[in-house]
Amino acid sequence: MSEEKALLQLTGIAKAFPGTKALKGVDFSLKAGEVHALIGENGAGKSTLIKIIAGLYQQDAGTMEVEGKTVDFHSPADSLEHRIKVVYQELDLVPDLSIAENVFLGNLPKKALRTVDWQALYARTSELLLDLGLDIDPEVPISALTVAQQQLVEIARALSRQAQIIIMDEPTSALSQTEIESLFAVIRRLQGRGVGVMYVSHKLDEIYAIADRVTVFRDGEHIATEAVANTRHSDLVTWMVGREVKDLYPRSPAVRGDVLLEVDGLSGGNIENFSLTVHAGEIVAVFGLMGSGVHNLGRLIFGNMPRAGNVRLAGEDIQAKAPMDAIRKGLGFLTENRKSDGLLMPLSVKDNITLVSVKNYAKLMVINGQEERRSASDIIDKLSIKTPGMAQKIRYLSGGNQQKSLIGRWLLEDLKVLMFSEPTRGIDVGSKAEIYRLMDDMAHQGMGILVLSTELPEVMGIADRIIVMRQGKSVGGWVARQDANEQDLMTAATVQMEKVI
Amino acid sequence: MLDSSAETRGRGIGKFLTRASHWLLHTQEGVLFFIVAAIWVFLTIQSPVFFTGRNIGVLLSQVSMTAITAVGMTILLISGEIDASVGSMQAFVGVIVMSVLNSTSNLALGIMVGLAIGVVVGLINSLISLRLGINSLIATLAMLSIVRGAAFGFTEASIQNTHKIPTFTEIGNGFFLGVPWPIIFFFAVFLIFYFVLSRTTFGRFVHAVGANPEAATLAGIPVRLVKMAGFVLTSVLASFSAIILLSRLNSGQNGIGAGFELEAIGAVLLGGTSLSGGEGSMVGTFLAVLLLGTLKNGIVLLDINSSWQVAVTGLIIIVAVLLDARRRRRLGQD
Ligand SMILES: Nc1ncnc2c1ncn2[C@@H]1O[C@H](COP(=O)(O)OP(=O)(O)O)[C@@H](O)[C@H]1O
Ligand SMILES: [Mg+2]
Repeated sequence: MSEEKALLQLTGIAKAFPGTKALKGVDFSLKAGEVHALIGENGAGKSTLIKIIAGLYQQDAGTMEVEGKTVDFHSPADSLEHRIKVVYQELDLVPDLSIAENVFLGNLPKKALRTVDWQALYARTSELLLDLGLDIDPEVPISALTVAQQQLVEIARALSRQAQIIIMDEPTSALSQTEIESLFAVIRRLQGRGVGVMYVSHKLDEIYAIADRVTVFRDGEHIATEAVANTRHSDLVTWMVGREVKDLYPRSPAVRGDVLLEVDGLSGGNIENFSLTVHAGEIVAVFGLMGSGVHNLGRLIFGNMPRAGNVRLAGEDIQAKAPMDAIRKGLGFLTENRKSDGLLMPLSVKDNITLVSVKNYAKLMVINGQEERRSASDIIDKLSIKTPGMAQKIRYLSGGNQQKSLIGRWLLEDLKVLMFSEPTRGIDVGSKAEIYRLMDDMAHQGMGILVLSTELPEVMGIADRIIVMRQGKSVGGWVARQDANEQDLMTAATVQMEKVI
Repeated sequence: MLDSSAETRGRGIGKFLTRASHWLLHTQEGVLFFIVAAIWVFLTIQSPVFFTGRNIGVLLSQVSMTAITAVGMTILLISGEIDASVGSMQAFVGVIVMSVLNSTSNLALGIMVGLAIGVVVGLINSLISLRLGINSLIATLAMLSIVRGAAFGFTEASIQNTHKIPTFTEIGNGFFLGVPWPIIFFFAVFLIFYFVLSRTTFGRFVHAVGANPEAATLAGIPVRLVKMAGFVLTSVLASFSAIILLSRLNSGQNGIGAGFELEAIGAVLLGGTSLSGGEGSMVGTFLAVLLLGTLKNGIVLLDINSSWQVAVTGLIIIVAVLLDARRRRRLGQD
């Protein structure tokens, strides 16, 4: 195979869904040994393109060539046959089977009598795993692995089928910094063997760390393809958003009012004796690494996890029984797992938005449909949620628009304090800025905001006060824009030494 | 769904036609409607008796018991649970109510006792499924045996009508303005719960707890309470069916209602309600029940071996489950 010839060449690919043109004639090419990043805001059409390459969807127009030959995929099997492997964000491994069985699923090495050759299976799996820098027993079930390890198993699966094209759809959204580093090491090793890697992400830093070329999509259109080395950060943002994003963090401190949320001696899960307060007009962030307990904090406060300690909202005790009590008293909570804890996939955008507030539009349980639709439509306008209509099922919206719908759910309630866990996980730059602006607005209207985050730039950019959590304990508090800097916070979150307050 | 497409598409004759054709061609309800209509046309041509007021009355009366139970079952399935015990309830409620009537001659009391059994069994079902965390299919299959056992334990054969209350006989056999009472009960139950499911907060919560119980909890919805209401409702409506059946048979029989649960659940699934919860259609259930009744009626009119009547239920279930699996596979790809 010559150096110049593309492994994968897509030309003029178009795909429409009822109500949306997801792709309007886009090009993309991938060479052997190359990492080619595909970026774009939510809804740009990245996942749709991947699904076309994977054989899950068929394009309405355009051609697809693998190694110079035109191909026509009708099913995922066709795509696999051309040695293309997609590692999806939601991994499709069988949790109860062993690593080895997953890696060779549908392709198990057999002995003469067509029984499984277990010895060969484990040996070959070990080999593949070691190759990826994963020293782990291939007989361990998938359910015992971390997300990062599972991802590597997916990649091993690709290698077991001699994949020459590996596609990763936002692979790092649930990984810690060190896990990301080791994933990158694996990608570089793949690259060295001549595998072509298509890398889809929202995170621009990653593009600079790993990619050779970058392609930008916006609203289903191809905007640019450039060598990463020749591209400035601000170019990428402008291409993605279609305008300059001057101010990602629009925080303007508001008047600090009375104490709204008081958490006193909270324990539960891995959290021990944690206290904090949030005042009206204030954005407080709790920062910690994955596994530090930041995510549990929200559930404990909300009463969705057994706990000890006191939580008061505007002076009233919040019971630990169920979130119902917290909501009634004016506390809202947006979890970090949109899919598992937030979205009602079979329901409409409207029903998802009004899930909490629907009781307010009802008399004797009968919903006033007009009032409900008006509220939903206000939210859709206010948060510029992209949807063909409020009756669209929410499962068809892109991640950013799903997230906005969930935020909208709480905007319709008369809240005193709103807790955001990873408010912008998996969200593009444009929507990020909008969500930060919303938080700022809410603070100015006298609400208190509590952010639970593992992303340091976000915490630095949006919070008035920052508390760092490590292994379930508070290790210090900082006032943003005065004494906080990234270095100190990261050190506090990682090192076994407490800041003396 | 009908009402949701109305929200996006607005008014006007043209839009109405687009909407109607979309409904007919692209939704499970629409396809069902099409099939039922086609069979009705076919049977009208084949048999002079089919499209007569009398025969349609018989057809609808016959399926009214399945229909009333299926209405509750639709709500329960959308909430993510199921009740397989409704078949034995037909027997148990029947024998108890008949003996209460025989010994007290008090119709209101008899009916109250029948519905109260529904409440109690529904509560037990929900307790086993929700508190003990046993899958509701397993829990209620066990209940199916227990309730059947109770019916056999209560009487060795059947309990005849010795009270001779005329109003009691009216329930299953009488007419109101020329329409059989069972049909009136069926339509009333259907309309009431169509409204409850699509227009009330309870209906919304039923969808929410079935679609994603964790998300529902975090939105402040009392998940267990909503599901418990679904169990009790299904069981009470099954008791109501049993009372109508009792009046039609004029005796409480301990062996009646075998396979009734399959008919009710099959109709709900065929109507487009998902086995995985969170979505479903009351109109679909209505049409599926109608299809079931039509097929049974057609088998009799065309003089086909009547054992096919039983097979029809099995066939409907297989088709329904296949359709559901296909739909879920399609969604799994998104
Ligand atoms: N199965 C589908 N049905 C209807 N619309 C869809 C479907 N899949 C994606 N879309 C729409 O197509 C557009 C592109 O979506 P997607 O490819 O998921 O974007 P990205 O991955 O870049 O965020 C979005 O507007 C989305 O709502
Ligand atoms: Mg995507």
